[in-house]
Amino acid sequence: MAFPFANVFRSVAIEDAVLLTPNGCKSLSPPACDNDRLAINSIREFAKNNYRSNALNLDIMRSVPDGPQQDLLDSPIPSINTDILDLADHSSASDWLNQFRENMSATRNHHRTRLIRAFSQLNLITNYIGVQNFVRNLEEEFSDILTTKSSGRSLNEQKNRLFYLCTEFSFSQHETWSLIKSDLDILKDYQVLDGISQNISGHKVSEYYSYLVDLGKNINSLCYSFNQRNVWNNDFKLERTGFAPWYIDRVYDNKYDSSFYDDVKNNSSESSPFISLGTSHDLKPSDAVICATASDCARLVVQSIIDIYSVSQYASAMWSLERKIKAPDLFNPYNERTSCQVYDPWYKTKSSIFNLVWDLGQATVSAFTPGMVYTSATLSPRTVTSFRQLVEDGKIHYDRNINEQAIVSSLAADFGPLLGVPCSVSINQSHYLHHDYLMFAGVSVGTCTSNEDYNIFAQSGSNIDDNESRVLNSCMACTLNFETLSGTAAYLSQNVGPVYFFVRGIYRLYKGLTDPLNIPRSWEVYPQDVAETLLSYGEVPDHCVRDLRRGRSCLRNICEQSVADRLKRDFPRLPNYISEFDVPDFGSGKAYIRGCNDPITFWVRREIDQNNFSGQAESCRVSRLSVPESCLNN
Amino acid sequence: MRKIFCILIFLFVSGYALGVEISTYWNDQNQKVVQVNCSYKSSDLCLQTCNEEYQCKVLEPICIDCVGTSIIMTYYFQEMGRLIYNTGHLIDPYFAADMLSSDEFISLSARSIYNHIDSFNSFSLQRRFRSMCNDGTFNPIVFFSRENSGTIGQPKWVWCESGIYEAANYGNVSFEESYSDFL
Repeated sequence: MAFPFANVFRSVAIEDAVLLTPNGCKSLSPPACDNDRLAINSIREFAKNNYRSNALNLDIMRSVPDGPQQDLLDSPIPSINTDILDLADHSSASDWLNQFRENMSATRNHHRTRLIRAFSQLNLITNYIGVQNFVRNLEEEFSDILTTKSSGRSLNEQKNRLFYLCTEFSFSQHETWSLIKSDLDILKDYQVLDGISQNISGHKVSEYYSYLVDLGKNINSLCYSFNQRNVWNNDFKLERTGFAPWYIDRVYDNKYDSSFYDDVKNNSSESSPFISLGTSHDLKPSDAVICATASDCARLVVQSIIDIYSVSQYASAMWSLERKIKAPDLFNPYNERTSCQVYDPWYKTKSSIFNLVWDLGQATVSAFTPGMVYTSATLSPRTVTSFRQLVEDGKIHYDRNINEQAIVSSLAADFGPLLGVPCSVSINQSHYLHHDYLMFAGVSVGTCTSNEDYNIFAQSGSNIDDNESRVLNSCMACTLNFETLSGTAAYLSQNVGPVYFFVRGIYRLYKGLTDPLNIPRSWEVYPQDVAETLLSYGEVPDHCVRDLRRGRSCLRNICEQSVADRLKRDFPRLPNYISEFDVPDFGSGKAYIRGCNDPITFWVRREIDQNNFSGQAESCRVSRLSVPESCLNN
Repeated sequence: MRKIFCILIFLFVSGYALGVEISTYWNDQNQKVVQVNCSYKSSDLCLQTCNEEYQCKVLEPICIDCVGTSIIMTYYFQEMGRLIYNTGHLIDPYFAADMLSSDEFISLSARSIYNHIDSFNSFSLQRRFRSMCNDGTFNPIVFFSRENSGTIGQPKWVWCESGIYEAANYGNVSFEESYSDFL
């Protein structure tokens, strides 16, 4: 193995440096709807050209990310005919790869810095200061506010510091009202980062989280008592830039620049800092101070926990924490959507068959009923309405709230010819209205009552479902223009019958199953053939698609095509595609394989086919085909 | 000239007489070797380590996942001298000998090839490592334990010219008042 560097080579952190990516539809690792797979697949973003300019808006760089599962809800059906990885923007694969690698490294460094800072700070603060001590110090720090010992600007500054402390703890830790507490709660059971945490600090992530929860309860009650005494009255002026970065990101959408990290080191100008590294270190003062006051330390605990949470959402994308090589499905965005059941690739097929059965049923029914009873049903796809994070075995999985496939049916009875009243009534189970109503020349009066579709059920501040209950629509439209409607209705009732529905059924089935985009199909295509077609035509023309699907070449020149087919047959393991052809109509010719300097030689003879049975006007005979050894061993 | 020569020899011998000299290098087979030179005062250390009186050459085991920019390696190189510090307590030389002979240790210095966060032997890295000793040692070496999986563990001790001191990971912290409230 790799002599003479075997020993050094075994020290290399290979799993962090290698990505194996299938360039087709198949996956290298089994599908699962968990954070590992979703996070790894989110690295598609690094391929985009505008990654750097757009980075701060991406979820992966936010202070409190929504997580990779949110993308599945936002775009359940990705577009398939666009270049999602921006491959075409680069002149070569190496260029694309360089940019990808740079983007990934930069993001990884950013996350690594956050994580190290978070663990170091938590290590120092929680190792030496217990929760009760903290609270005592906070009471002391802010006692001046209650006794009004200070006033004016200094009083406002203290009130601001207290406000930041109370708001941030309330937002992140309040039992009922916190919008992010249920997200942060996953850290109770999350074990993926424990290896690193114990190495750096000797404690697990869950221990730090319990400390924060305990501290939060105490600080929230302390803040409640301050609030009771009307500390933040009309004289109080809030300075928003003092909030922590995570708070400004979450609440103010990064509108302000946070001065938190500067304040934390510089706040205590009169007294000695609350925690600092000892004087035996050869450190600059700014490096030595950990936190200047007790409230700064408490807020650092929250900021650190939030940093750990946000890194945990995408940790699998950045590092191989279980020492396995990552295998993201870069080129196939459907994989994770299918495994999370957000997208059903067989939906179109199922619904085409369903529509056919329904249409045949309609054909039968209309043969027997005298009036027209139009029914229409649509299979509505299974939709995932939300994801909830659960921790199983220390890793994050997603619990899907699924709206099961429902048959949405509507019944429209046209009572025109029977009752002489030109009205139609439609009762739908959903808020989709299935029938277009005839446009009338006369006056129309219509009423629709529906259970409106925006019912939101909230179980707590951070768990919002939009579980739709059954929605009932009743629509009734009447027109005063009898003539037009009666005429139309009479015409339709005579001419629309079983044959109409039958023909429509077959036609809809045909259209459904030949849908070019939504029915999954599989072919095996040789990339070399595609490359050669591209070189020959400058693009892949439609008429070549069928040949390429069948594993045949499709080139402009019939002799080039014959040579390519013959090479494939006789030398199936050629390493690359043919980049250059030099083919006459008759005589010896040459071709060059990309990456090999020696030519492939052959003799060709183009022939016009007099008996046109095969449908081809000309053909080409290839002989004396010879491939140099150097090209085979490439 | 002779006087200067004598003074130099005297200084060299007396300095050497204080203790142990440890250095690391890579041999022809590309294996990392820790060389321990003992004086007659400290020959116990060498005897305990490899049964020789004045010099020991110990092979350092392979450090899995050390070559790279992993979180833990970044942390150690970045925070050397700041959060990882010399507690000031001299350790029992038997402890050091035990670790060296057990084959379960990793050593890091400013010249380590495991450093990928800074350029090799960079000035800032040298400064960080030198702050681990307060006797002006030119190239201090910090020894870490090694986990069962072969990856790097916790810092244990640092070799300075004036002796072998305990190294710890929690930062030498000072407070506004003194607390003794541990989690």
